[in-house]
Amino acid sequence: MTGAIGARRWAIAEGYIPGQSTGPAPQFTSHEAACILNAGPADAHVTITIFFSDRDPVGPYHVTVPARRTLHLRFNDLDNPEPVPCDTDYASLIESNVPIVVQHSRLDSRQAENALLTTVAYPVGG
Amino acid sequence: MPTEWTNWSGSLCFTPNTIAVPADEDELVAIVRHAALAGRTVRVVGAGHSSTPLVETSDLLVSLEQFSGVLEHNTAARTATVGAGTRLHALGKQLHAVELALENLGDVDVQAIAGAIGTGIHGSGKTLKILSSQLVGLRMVTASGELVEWTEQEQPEELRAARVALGTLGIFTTVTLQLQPAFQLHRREWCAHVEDALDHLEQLVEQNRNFDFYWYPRSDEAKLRTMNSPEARQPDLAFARLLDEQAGWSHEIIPKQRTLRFDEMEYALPADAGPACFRDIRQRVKAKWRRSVGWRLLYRTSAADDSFLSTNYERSSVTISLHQNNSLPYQAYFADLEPILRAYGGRPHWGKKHTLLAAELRPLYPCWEQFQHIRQRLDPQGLLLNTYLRDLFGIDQEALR
Repeated sequence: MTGAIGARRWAIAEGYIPGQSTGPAPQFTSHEAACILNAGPADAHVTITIFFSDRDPVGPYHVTVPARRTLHLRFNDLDNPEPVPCDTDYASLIESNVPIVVQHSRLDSRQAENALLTTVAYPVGG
Repeated sequence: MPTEWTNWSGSLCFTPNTIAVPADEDELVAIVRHAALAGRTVRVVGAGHSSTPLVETSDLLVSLEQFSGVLEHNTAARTATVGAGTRLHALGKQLHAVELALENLGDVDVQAIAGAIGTGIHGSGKTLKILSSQLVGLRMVTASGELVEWTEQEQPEELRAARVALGTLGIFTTVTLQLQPAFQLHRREWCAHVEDALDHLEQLVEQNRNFDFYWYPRSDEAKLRTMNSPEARQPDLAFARLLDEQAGWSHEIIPKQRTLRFDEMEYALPADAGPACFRDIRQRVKAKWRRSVGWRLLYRTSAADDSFLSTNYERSSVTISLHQNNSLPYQAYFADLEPILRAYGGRPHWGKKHTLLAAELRPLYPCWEQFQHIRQRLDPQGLLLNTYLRDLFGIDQEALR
């Protein structure tokens, strides 16, 4: 059986949700996502803190990734304690009680020729 | 020492001169009589869930928290008399213990019963009236310090005024409710694209005891909630994905736990206007507000009634409510959408954010003057009014005439 892999703390320095979209929603809605893999045997209780360029951080946002599951979390859908504003630079710190792997992706559909970018987040220690 | 008072969402904050917590009717009568003699004003507060300044005062604020619990019940007649300050969550449990239940509940059950009645809260369901409609009797302390008792049989016109009265006819101490035998519901929650939900809206409203949906502006998806008797289980919704289901007693199934604090504006529209208004609202939110608004909009239905200041007075209604996290500005968002809700003949929820005052409200309520006449008779000096309520009712303007 697969054990837990990854790290307990991750950072995504890049963050920006385009405010405009092209194509049907929600499939083609411009968005950013954190794809979180929890390969281990215990549920991952994850907190996310959002950092901005001109104001104090907001959070924590709480999500749970069940054992041996993945969660593709759209930052667009976060609302507690606040929605993440569109068209605004931000960064995120993702912390978990068990090791996880975090990959970041953005769909920018402001023009019909869609752009998708992705990168593995930065692990901060084990 | 004056103590600051804050409402549930935190958007209303003020410091009354005194907060009184009377233990019983005698103490409340003494407080009101003393206030009347001293020329003071009095506002009454239940759970503080409203976010319009109905209770705001720099003078005397009276809490109903000691007036709590089921005092009498008649299972055969399906009635119960309860303390006016009883919180709905506790009321549901206590009524269930005597095999009774409210016909319907709102999305949350943190309010006090007198506040819920006084501001006209409601749940969702085409055949279900707002909660105030269950009021069939009351005891209250009037502005003169008199303890009066009204029943639907003896004072039918007064009851129509009292059912939505914003705490301005008197301070309720007990309310008698017409109830249902305890009943169970099967709640199912579905996710669908909002266009699919709108395509099936009429049948969803018609075929379910309770139906509402939340629209999420950022994903354009909707969460649909249907509630029916467990014996009358409905077929699956082919266009939607089942997210959750639960069955149990009505007071456990209808309300939801809400940990996130928010501010809200809600308008009740003629039922036929609901779909078109929602489409206009959706278009505007998508065009202008998705950048800063992530919270959902709620679409509900409820039945007509005859209470003078009910938002459902003589018309079945669709209600559309907008929400914003209480930590974020709501004013510009609500102000931008309010004209659309008004253009469809909307009446604002009394306890939620809106900007209407007497000049705009009076034409919306055919029995406005009947209500004001009863209020004036009971409280000619305006002991139970604050500045907001005077503006809301146009008291100063009338006095000038």
